[in-house]
Amino acid sequence: MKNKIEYFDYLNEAQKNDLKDSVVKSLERQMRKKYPKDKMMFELKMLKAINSFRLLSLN
Amino acid sequence: MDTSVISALYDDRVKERQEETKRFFKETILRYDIYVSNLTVSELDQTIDPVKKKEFKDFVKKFNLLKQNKEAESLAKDYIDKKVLSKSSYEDALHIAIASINNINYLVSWNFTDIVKVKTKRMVNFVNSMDGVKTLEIISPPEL
Repeated sequence: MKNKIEYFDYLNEAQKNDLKDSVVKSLERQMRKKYPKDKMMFELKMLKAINSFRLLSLN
Repeated sequence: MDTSVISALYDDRVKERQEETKRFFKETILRYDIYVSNLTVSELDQTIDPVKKKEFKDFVKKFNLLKQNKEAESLAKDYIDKKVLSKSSYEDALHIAIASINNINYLVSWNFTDIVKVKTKRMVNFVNSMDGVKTLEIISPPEL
């Protein structure tokens, strides 16, 4: 699966939240295992996971 | 309704899911009041294609909007604390919590790995019962 964003721009959200590259890569590995052939769900879950980090850090 | 249902409508890579989703929006939802959360609106706002983003935004305008609040955040944290979902799925937990506290009957999603699965369904309703919140049916579009 290529890293080029096609549906949900999770990398932009990661950048806005100053998420480390290593964290993003780790999440990508996890989500790729969950969605090896479903690019839309992969990107949506990456976006949700990054948003989850932001929301939990606010609380 | 979860974001995955709306985005699946425009995802022609998974044809079968797209066809089921088209049928869902054309026929099934006519019998129900449809709600989306502020989380869905915000997720759709991260669509990279500007044309699709506008289509999504216009599309969700016709549905009722539910907003997160302290009660939903507290219930979502309870789902995480009780290991219903992992921390990286907190936003899904919040989505489920928003539906639960608003007495929604069905939460519809294409997310079979975290949301539409037996463990999540059972645990969500266990936590809801413990917290005095109405139970919720979590289903995929063809099940409705």
